[in-house]
Amino acid sequence: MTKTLDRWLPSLTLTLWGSVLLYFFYSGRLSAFLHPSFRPGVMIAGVVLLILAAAVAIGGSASCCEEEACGHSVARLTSGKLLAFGVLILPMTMAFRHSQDGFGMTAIENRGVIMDAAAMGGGAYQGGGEFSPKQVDGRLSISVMDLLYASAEPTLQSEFAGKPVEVIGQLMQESESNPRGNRMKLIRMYMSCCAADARPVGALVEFSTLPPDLPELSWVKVTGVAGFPMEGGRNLAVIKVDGIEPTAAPDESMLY
Amino acid sequence: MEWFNFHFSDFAFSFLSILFEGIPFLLLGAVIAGFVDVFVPARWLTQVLPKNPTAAVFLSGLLGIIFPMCECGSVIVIRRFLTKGLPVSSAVAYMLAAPIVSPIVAISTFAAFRGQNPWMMTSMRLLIGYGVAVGAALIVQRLPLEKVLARALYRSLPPRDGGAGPEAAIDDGGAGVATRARRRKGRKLRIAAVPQGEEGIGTKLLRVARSTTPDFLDVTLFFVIGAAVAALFNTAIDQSVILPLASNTVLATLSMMGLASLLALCSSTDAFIAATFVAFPFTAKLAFLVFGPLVDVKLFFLYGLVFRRRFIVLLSIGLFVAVALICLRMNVLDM
Repeated sequence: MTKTLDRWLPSLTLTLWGSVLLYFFYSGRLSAFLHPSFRPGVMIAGVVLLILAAAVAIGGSASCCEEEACGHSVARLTSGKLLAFGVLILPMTMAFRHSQDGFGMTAIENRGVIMDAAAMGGGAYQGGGEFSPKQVDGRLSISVMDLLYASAEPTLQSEFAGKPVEVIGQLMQESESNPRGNRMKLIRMYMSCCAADARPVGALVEFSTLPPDLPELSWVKVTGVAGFPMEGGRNLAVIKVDGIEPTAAPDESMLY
Repeated sequence: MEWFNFHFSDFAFSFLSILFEGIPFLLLGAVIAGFVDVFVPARWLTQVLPKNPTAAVFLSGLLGIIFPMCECGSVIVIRRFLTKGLPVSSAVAYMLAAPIVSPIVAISTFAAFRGQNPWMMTSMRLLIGYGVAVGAALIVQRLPLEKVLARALYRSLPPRDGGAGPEAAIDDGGAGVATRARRRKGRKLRIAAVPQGEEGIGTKLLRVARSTTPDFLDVTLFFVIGAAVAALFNTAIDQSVILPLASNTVLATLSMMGLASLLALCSSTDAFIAATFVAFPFTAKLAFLVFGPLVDVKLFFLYGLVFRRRFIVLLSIGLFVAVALICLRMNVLDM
């Protein structure tokens, strides 16, 4: 019984884990979960896990220790092996089945949308002196992050202020800086390493009339003119909207 | 409860992302440990250590650079090395330092803190981890072994003082007659343990796989639990609630150290979880990263394979106080 468990439980676990890693990598779903620099590691790990699974299945056992000298806290007991198998398989399987490729409103509200560049901490801005945004139909194609940093950087503000821009993001209700009820937030998730550390960052979009009736977190392309009015003692990034249209989520839904 | 809003799909998304990020590093550590287990003979380690006991401790604290090992693996390894003659103080220095002072941990810490002062976090983590481990080992060097080692392990050690038995022995750090006698004995034991036939490379690689797999699965088990707790914390709890805790440096540092012990994460992946606590100050995250690999819930049980329970409690308290004081002092100095 123990020999059977030593052979097949680890092999099965490694096979499942390796397959899940490779599935996420090759299906492209991994892009929502990880920064690009971490993705090749997932593919390599998936392959190595499958090789280990085969080696354990062929080799006959994954037990490296003598029973009394074994330092493995759980795997040395038969009940521990079954418990470990359950813990390793069940959460992964359930998460695999129920995970979407992005956060919902609950998590975003719990994290709080960052509207002030000072709250970004040590996050490195990738633009700066060499920043040269694309031009699309005479408009600057920029990100929410560019606008957020520009709100705190006078030199960057001059790049955008008063100019026509095009920004893609998700729409959210705005309750704080919205005295006339015609503003919404346009947000994106900013990731350092993985989705767990991703933080929602946003800029304001201001409509000439009431905001459109779109579901929360709809992906939209907003065109308009960028501005940085001083409100509440700081400059806010605000786009005065000329046009808004629903759009598909970008291939890379996170900003890095 | 307004501060707790659980949504399973958010939890699952965050949970999987932590797993995807950490598993490659965890696997890399387990594979390297497997190769060390199969291809590096134990006697090599005892031969390269200096005869001066203090110098041996300082060097042992750096061995993680060439023998990278996660904290779970290092307990298994030192138990093996102790029975083959490695001085206890050197073993303690290696056991405590190796999970922190290793290239894998340095790379993963740097990668995880990308955009959050990664050079400072990585260098301070390695420096403080090394200092605390060596300090603890130098204290152990002055303690009678029977007060330190688990009874069964103590009895299984080769006799000291020219064969007078282990009683009343003080760890001599590898110097003098006792160690030479122990080494002679250890050599006999090793010769007896050499397999009769030469193994082929295929067989050795199969042994690497068999050694890697339980290490990987055992530690991944705790990583899965840690990732679940971290994902729950990151998605279900209103972060504005914990801001008062995060804004008090003493509370933040002590609570992060407590959390590190409860989460029991592997040192090769814990930085990815620490980096997600963006509201907490730098020194609190540093304390999390230094203290977690030294003492946590699973290590408390694993240490019981090598040390006496009373010694483990005292060691844990001493390490907690040392790490907290260093990190809080750093905060005062505005580092």
